[in-house]
Amino acid sequence: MGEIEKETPGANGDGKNLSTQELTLSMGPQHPATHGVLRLVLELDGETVTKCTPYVGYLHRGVEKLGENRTYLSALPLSDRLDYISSMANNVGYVNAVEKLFGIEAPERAKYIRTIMAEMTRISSHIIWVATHALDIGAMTVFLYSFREREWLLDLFEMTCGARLTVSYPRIGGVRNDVSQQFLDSLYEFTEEFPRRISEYETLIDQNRIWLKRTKGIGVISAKEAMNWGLTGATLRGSGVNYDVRKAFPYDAYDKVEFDVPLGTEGDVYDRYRCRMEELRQSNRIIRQCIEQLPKGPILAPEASKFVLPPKENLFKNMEPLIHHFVLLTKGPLTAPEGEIYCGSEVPKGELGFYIVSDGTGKPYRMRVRAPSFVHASVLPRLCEGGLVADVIANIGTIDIVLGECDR
Amino acid sequence: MIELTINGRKVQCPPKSTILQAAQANGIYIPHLCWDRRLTPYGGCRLCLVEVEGQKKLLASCSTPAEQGMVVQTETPKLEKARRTVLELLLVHHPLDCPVCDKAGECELQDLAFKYGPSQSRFSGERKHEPEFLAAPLIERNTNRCILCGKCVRVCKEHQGVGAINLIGRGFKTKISPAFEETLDCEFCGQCVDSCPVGALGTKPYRFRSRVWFMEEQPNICPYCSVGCTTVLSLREGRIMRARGKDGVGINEGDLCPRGRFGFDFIESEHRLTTPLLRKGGKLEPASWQEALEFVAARLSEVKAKHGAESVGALGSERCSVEDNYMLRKFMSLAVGSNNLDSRARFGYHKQTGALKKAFGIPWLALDFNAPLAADVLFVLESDLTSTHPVYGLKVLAARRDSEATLIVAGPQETKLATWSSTWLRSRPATGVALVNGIMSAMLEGGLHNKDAEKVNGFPQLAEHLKKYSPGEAARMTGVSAEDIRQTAAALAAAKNPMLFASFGSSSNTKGEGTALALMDLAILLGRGPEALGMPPEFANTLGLQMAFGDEGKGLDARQMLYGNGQKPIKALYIMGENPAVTFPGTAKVMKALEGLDLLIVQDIMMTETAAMAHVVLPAASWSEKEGTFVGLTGKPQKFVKCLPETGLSMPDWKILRNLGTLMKAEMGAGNFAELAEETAENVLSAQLPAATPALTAVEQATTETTEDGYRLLLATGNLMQHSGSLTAISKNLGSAVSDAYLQINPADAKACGVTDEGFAKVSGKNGAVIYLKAKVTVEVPEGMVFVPTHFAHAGVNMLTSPPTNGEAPAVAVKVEAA
Amino acid sequence: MNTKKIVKTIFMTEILQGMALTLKSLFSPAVTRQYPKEKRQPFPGFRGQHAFVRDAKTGKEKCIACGLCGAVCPSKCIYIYTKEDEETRKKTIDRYEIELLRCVYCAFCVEACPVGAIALTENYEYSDYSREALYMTKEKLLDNWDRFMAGPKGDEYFEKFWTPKQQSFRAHDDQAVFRPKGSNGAARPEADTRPEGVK
Repeated sequence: MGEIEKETPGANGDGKNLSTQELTLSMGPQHPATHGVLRLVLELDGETVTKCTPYVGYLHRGVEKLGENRTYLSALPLSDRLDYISSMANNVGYVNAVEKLFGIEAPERAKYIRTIMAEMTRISSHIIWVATHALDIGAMTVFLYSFREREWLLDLFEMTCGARLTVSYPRIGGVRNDVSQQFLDSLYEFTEEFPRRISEYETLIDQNRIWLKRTKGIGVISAKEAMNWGLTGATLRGSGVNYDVRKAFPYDAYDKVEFDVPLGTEGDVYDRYRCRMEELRQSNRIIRQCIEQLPKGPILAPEASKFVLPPKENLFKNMEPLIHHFVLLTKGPLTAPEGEIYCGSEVPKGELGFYIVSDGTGKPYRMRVRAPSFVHASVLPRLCEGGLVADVIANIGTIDIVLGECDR
Repeated sequence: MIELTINGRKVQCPPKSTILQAAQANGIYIPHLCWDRRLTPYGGCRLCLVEVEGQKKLLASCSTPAEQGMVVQTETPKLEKARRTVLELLLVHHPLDCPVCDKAGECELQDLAFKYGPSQSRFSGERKHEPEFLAAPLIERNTNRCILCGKCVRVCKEHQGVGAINLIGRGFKTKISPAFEETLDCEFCGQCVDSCPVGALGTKPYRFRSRVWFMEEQPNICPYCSVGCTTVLSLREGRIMRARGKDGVGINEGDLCPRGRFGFDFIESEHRLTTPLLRKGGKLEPASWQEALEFVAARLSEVKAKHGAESVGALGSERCSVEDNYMLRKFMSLAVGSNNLDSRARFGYHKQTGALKKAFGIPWLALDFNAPLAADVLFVLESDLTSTHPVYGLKVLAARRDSEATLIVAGPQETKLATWSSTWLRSRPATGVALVNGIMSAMLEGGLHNKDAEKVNGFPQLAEHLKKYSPGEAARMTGVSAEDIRQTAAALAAAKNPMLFASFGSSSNTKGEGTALALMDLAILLGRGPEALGMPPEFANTLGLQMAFGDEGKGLDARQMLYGNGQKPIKALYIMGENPAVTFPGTAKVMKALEGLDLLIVQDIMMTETAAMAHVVLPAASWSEKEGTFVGLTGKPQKFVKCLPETGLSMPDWKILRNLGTLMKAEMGAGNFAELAEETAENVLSAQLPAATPALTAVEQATTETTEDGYRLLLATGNLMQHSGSLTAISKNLGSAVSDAYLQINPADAKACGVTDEGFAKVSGKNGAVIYLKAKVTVEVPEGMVFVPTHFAHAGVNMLTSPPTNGEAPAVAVKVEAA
Repeated sequence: MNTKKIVKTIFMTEILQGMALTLKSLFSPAVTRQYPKEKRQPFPGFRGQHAFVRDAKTGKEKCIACGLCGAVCPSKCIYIYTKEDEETRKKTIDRYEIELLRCVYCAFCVEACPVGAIALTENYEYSDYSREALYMTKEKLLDNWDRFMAGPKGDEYFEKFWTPKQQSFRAHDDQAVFRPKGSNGAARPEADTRPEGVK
């Protein structure tokens, strides 16, 4: 290299020993294909990426610290804003963690509802993923089609909890309110319709030669390496590792429904795409089973009165409910046991874990969020380096990150 | 140590502990509502029940003594059930008040009901619905919420020694109340409010102002007396909502007096200065800092050039921080070049420092705050410690109550300590020296004094001198019987650990340096050093000011500057945070001196009477709007913090002085507060107290003004528990407790003068001054004496008084007539 | 197998299949909505802009100034200032303000309110040009109630969305469960039951 640099650039008579220079390219934080405010500093030798350094933290809001300054109940909306595409699944993960800490359990019906909601979230997250991923790679139609289905799901969220995106619907010990008959009917209708829609997406890209060229053999990562990088979710399963929190550590109603965990073989972008498409079908299957099995019953744990707000009708009947209402809202559950727990859940992006340390007051002493997007962002250099610069886009898409969760 | 087992854990506790104390000392929590560390066990709430092996019944741990080998369980299903039922029953009649109750969010009953109570009640009883009312300023009561734990009653009676409230009525109608449901007549210390575990007692200023969860807590050092209590401020959006004591926090460990609890609102007074003021055409007009400081710099230089630097004087403030006063000294020496620096302490604290130098050769006293608790005989001379230094006074009270020490109180006024004393020597006003001399004489007479004292310098002279003050003679002068004097001498001499108390305030005119010196002589005769003296400085930073101003005698003092006994009258005066026109004795002379000045600069937080006379007024940031250090009675510096924004354009005092000094081309340093604090710590606060070398000095009883020609009453002035100066006077809260000056007069005198209770009295002094005051006819003052608090500007009490000279106690003779 | 692949490569069958799909979609009705010309009615219980409940009996706000909404608010955007009414000596609201720019629309305030004095309306069109316009005072909030929630709508809102209720803690007959198509009794209607928005 040193010798080459001595040469004058440009014409030197015979066209030999032309000087080359590595180009540093800053991609993002404002770039449509980085799915948020991710910044990659790429060092390029021609078209080849020699070095890729992700810079994260542009969306850091201190969610963990904020959580430590709020009661267990008030901290719930913070989890909405991790991966805002799949807020319902984050909520479910959070309340499951807190319930595990408190040693309480949500009633059966609430568990089924949460499972339904979490799987709806998975579908809406995955279709947004396939939409943007395809758009980044150059297939625009999928984007438009998938938003059609997503709208249906968001409408259903809105019907139940009044919000479409940041839902804050589950509660410690259950869910906020019951689902309506219209909701169940419409959602069942959706599950009948949806497999056809998945086929439509596949018709558009699955065998498309451009799609295959752009995804097959790109961003390959072996099963062992994927595990070593700490990947989870479909990003891991694309490499053929059979790990799914829903199977390994079932929560809510996952042990009562049948579903398969799709696995890839090659560990490339295409396999991860296939895994996610297959997961759409599996989620659809889970939702159908949940609706069919949904029992009648309470939606908030009646025995967890020290953690669940008392019924509104009782507030002004006697002192106890009023006091419980006040203490829970102002100081949080003072009866929270001391201790620490880790509870992971399978959110669309991977394994979202909450590690909570309780000192027996109404607020968590420490709240740590294991964000799959953060872990996945760290594997980007491994996927990109040595590849072409055009494939960086495919690699960002394939690890399915949301920067809100990554930066927390 | 006693060893017992609690919850399977072997724990130790000192003898005489209860099970609850043993558990707490070992970090085991037992729920309780009616127990308080400061009070005798009551056993009323039944929440602290525990199971003791071998005992059939559940025992209240707060009132069961821990015994060797006891096996105690604090968490069993049986106890849980008992506690659940207790809480359930407590809530049966409780009104559904949480939404409006100010206590919600910090209510002990709420927390305990949540932690230990059921989530549904099995009972439905009648709810209490008494109207919420208490005829009293500052204190608010809602009897419906009361759980009758009696903590307030016991704090008031046992701890504060007042006993203003008690439980009245029976059964369902039992409630906390002042006697006969009349107006609450108390000190308004608010200790009952802090001790209330529910929302039954509250303070009026805080009522419905904010919910607790909207506020942040900020502990800060109280700006009033020299005890240096930590008052925990509740802040919301840059305003103080309330101040509280928090158990175990600060030197006071949670105790507070009315000033510390309610006096914070002076910060928001409408009298606060918001902008610099310049006198233009005879009127004070708002000006910019630039304009004001340039004016001051120019005029100071002018005066300096014309009359010399020594014609410029300055008064510091006992309420400003050490840093502020250090900066004033620096400003005077560097920018002005004058040593004329003094403060109001000249009329108060200097009485005792002057004596200290003579008796022990030390510049100040560093008190041990808890020393009174260890004393076995406590002698209080003509001082109302519980008013001037309320929380320190509580220690004296506690010594009397808890360790049953002998408390001998000498003085004419029936103070709280006098009512709790073992012996009250009701002496005539301003006869302290004679009384102490009499006691010493009695000791020497009986040979009771410590024999080591005979080796102390001046002993023979003192012994000779004391012959004039034989107990009989002293009895004649003081009005205390010779027998009492002898007994006091015997009690003090027999004591293992006697302590002598007196407070020397600038507003109290019955004690002088002589009184302090006589007490110190007594201490030496008892074989004791400065540690036996309980003489607290007056204000929050009196001692700090003393340290910051350092050596004396270089320049003119306040007496020379303001009362015309200086060699050369001063022409310019820089006053920082002081109001001589009201608070200095002998107002007429002070006013004349101030009027005669070429330049009067007043730097204060509010528009005072002195500021109204100034040529330029500079607005200063007050306590809590700036940071700084106070040195209180322990001699240890305590930092206070800034937690509020400055009012208007005001600035911390040190900053104004630095800017002004810099403008006058002096090297002021102190780029920021941290630098200044470091410099101050190095130059001022690092000073070490030298070892005491005792010396005895003979002191004569000063003659008071003669009480003749109709001027037959002696006027004593002083502090109140609720008021201590200009700051408290602009506090609306404290004003609602005591709003105006009054004249305390004995019924016999009142009758003779034709004055009626609550009627107006005309008080005239020999110097021709006349003031009008509301009379309070009370036996608290003896015949021949009247008492007036000095803090209210419009009362003009200091028109009657005169400044003390050394050794003199200028209680003045006045004539009282019906107005 | 190989022939198939060759045919596929030459005739671009997979691409033609995709194009057939898009062509077909060309003739299906549009799913997009022309906002703001076409407005969508949100579902009941939508968490839009806040309203302060006006008590039909007194004509005043229902709020008792307990401050729980401010306590639970995760973004601390509710400011309540209370004082003592000089005449009645009761607790009254001095100011009640919500900083919409900080609000996260979680509706915890509704859940926290012990008397049902605050609601989230279905109004979602509240964007504006100034911060001041998005700072809600008590008057503005009461006005919102009159505009969006007054009458039976408000009652229905609290009936359904002011949770938890006693029936949240027990099973009851009205609870929704799966009903297969064409089953007798409460049969699922054959018609499209998709929410209004997606038709």
